[in-house]
Amino acid sequence: MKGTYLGEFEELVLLTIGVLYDNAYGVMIKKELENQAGRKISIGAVHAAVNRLEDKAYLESYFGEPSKERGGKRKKFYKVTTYGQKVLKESMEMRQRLWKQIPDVAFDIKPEKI
Amino acid sequence: MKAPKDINPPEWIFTLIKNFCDEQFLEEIEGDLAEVFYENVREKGLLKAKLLYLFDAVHYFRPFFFKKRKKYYLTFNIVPMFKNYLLVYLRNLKRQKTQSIINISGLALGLASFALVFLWVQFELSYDGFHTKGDRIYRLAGEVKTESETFQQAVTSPPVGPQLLADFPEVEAVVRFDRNNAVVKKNTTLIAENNLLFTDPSFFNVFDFKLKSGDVKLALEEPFSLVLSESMARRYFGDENPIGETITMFLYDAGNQGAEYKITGIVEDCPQNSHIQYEVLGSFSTLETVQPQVLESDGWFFNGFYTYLLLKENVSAELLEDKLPHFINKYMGDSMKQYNMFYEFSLQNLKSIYLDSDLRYELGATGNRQSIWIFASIGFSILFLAIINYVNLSTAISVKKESVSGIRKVLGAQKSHLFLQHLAESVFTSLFALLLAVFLMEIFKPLFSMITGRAQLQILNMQTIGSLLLVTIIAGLLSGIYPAIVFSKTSPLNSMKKLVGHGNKSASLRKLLVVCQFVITVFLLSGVLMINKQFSFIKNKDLGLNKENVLMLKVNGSQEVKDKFEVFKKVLLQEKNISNVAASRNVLVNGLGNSLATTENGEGKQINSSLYNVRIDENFLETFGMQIVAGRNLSSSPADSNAFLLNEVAVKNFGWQSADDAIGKPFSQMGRAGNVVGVVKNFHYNSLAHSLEPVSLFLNGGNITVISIRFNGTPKEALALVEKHWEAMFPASYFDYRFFDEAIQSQYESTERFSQIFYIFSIVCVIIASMGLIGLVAFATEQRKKEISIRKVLGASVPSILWLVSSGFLKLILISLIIAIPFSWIFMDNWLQQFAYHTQLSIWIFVGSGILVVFVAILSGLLQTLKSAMVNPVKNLKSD
Repeated sequence: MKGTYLGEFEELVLLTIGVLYDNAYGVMIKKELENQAGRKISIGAVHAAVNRLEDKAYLESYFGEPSKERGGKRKKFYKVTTYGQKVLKESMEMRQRLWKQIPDVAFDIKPEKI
Repeated sequence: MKAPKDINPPEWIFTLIKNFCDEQFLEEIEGDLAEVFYENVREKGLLKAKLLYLFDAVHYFRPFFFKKRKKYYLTFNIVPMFKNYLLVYLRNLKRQKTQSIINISGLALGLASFALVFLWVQFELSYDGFHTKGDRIYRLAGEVKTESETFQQAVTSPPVGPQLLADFPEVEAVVRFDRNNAVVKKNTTLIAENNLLFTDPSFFNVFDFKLKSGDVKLALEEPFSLVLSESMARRYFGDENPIGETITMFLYDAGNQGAEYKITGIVEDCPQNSHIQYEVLGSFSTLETVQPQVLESDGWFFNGFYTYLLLKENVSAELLEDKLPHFINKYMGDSMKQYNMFYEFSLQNLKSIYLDSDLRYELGATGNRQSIWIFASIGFSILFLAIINYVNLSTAISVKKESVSGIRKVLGAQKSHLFLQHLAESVFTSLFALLLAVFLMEIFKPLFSMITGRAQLQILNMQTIGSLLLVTIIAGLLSGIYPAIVFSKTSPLNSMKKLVGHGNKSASLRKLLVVCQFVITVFLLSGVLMINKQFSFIKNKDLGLNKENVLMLKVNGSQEVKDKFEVFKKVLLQEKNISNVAASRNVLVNGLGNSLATTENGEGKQINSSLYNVRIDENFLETFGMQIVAGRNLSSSPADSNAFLLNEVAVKNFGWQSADDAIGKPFSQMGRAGNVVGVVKNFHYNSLAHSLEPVSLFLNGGNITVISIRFNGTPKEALALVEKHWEAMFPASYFDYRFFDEAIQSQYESTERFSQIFYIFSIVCVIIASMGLIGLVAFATEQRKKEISIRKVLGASVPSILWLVSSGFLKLILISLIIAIPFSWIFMDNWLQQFAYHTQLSIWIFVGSGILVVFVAILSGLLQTLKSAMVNPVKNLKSD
């Protein structure tokens, strides 16, 4: 599984990009992540993650138009590739399998819905 | 609220990121950071936004974002690459002949000078290093205190050594030296030998001088034994075996008839780098046999001998030194009190004697650590100048080369390739320079050896070549590193566009380096002028005597000369070209010997004081042109045998009111009790490095060693005349002559050597610096030739164009002058202090060296500039 290993933060980034759909670029990803996860995230960490994910071919990117509020620079938008979706799905399925196998007596709580 | 476009993220922070961050991330990062920044400015204010920007920026400093090396870098084949570099280098060498010649020959000159200095310094530092027991060998030096002075001397007396050996278990062996000159008689010819060392049998045990044949233990045991050096043995006996033979020497002989010495061994020739120098070794027992009194209690004060101690292993010299005062008290205490002359002993390690010791009566010439430092720094400076030249020239022609670098880049060369290429080029240059340097060194080696007064320095041995190669490669790398950085950085686009003003950054560095060069040059030049000034001061200083036209003959202990001196004198005085003849025991060169005198001070209290002595006859003062300021000269009458003359310093030191006051004062010295009859005007009896001390003059009484003759006419004629009479009258005596002015001049031999080396290296510096300047001016005019042509077309005159091109360099030279003057002032002042009598520093020296430098600079720049200023403008303008 080494090739498709997905870190926790990377998985969150991938999912967030999915949520943002066609507005997924650095600052937006950072903001949405902060909203969803409720923790401070540095823009550098986001950049490191998205670029690494792109290297792994989970993401693809394209540039938008230059804009003034970015000092004349273009936005770099990200999209989850089909391969990325597959990996996300595999990860989700694995978790579900694991949840299902947990005996009822082991946990007090039950997942509400997955 | 301000519009976002008025406020921008701090640029420097992003520049920082750009430096390490790979290009592929930059746009995204910059855009996102800017967006966050503008939002922060709106919500949190400018300051906080900036801080957050910085904070965010720091996060990019992680390996992931770092610049990536291209993978194919490693797949390149190094060997063909370097072959290509060499090929391109050789092509450029051909194409830019002037630059290449300047580069290579400048560097070669620098390397050669550096290497020669390096060899010399190495030689000086190697002195006495070859003795395996050197760490444990110490020389006993004495400090003498009298009421009027304290001084340190290298000499001690004969009984001290053996007594130390007997009293202290720490001492393993003792070697004494008795240094002599003597005339040797071989068949009927007489030869003066100046380097006789009478010593103890332990000599071969303590020192590493090797006995080639003979018995190590017995060779120096018997009185009248001699051990010859190999070259001396060859000189006297050719290929025959000299052992067992005898030779006659006029030394320690009864009635000056010469004594038979038996040759008992052959010792290797003395190494050059030894402060102990000998031609012949004799047995110390000779002296003890002939003059047994040297070992008696008074012998403790016969300070004319050298004592070396070999200490046992793990013995501390300091601890032994602490015990010496008690030792002195035990054996010399009573006599010291009686003579009112007190001794202290100290120990000098063998290895430090040559460079650090400068006492009275040193065994041989000593070196000087200060001059080693000076020359080592000069050597480095010259190399530095040459490296500067290289850097200057190669950055100057960078504009030309930049297009080459640009094309290489377009064809896929990486920064590191270009960097390597330029480093390789400068190393090639320095290797070429090394070849030329070795050649230059071989040419200049004899000259250098002559000036330094040293034997041939070994150049072509592995060690020297190896270290030279290392220095060369380091110099190559050093000189190449800056140009390499400049070239490898150029962007291909700019380099091919030949942007005007490109390379301005390196222009300011070039200026800085030119200033460095001229600071060093001005420094050395003003040093040369200063040294010259001091030499003319020495030459023209009134020595209190007339040094011209005096011929001195050494008697060398010849009995017939002593017996028939009066007749000889009469014969000489009959010649019209000879005006005076004097006999004396001393010469007024290289200092005098001193002894204790008793007199009374200005208040009439009796005092003891040490005075230098000159034993003279009644004609001495006149022969040497010395003047009496009070009283009268000595006469030959027996009544004057206890009369004394003093110099003015003595009168002042004793606290007497005036020279006239001195006449009639009681004075006794050397067992003569008498009165002062006259005062002699101060005269110099040593080099001007030494200040004048009290001197007494008295009648010699028979035992003469030097005959001084004042003549008129040319020295050559006088010499021939005197020699003719000598040969006729003293057929069995060696004619050993010296001119007084030459003898005085020889006192400055080491100073003169110092200044000659200084001259030569200054010249080398000036050559290198002006070569660099020629190259730079050539380049500057080359670059501006179109500008110059256009100016000419528009009506500029040739002088105005000359000024245009050279004013920049002249400004730099002026700056260098201002920087160099204080440094050289301090240095020169320091150098002058070694002379008790010296000339004054003057601003004219610096003005002079300034003018000289400007002159050389203009000369070297002018030709270049003139060429371009004179050329028909059409020629330059019609190309592209």
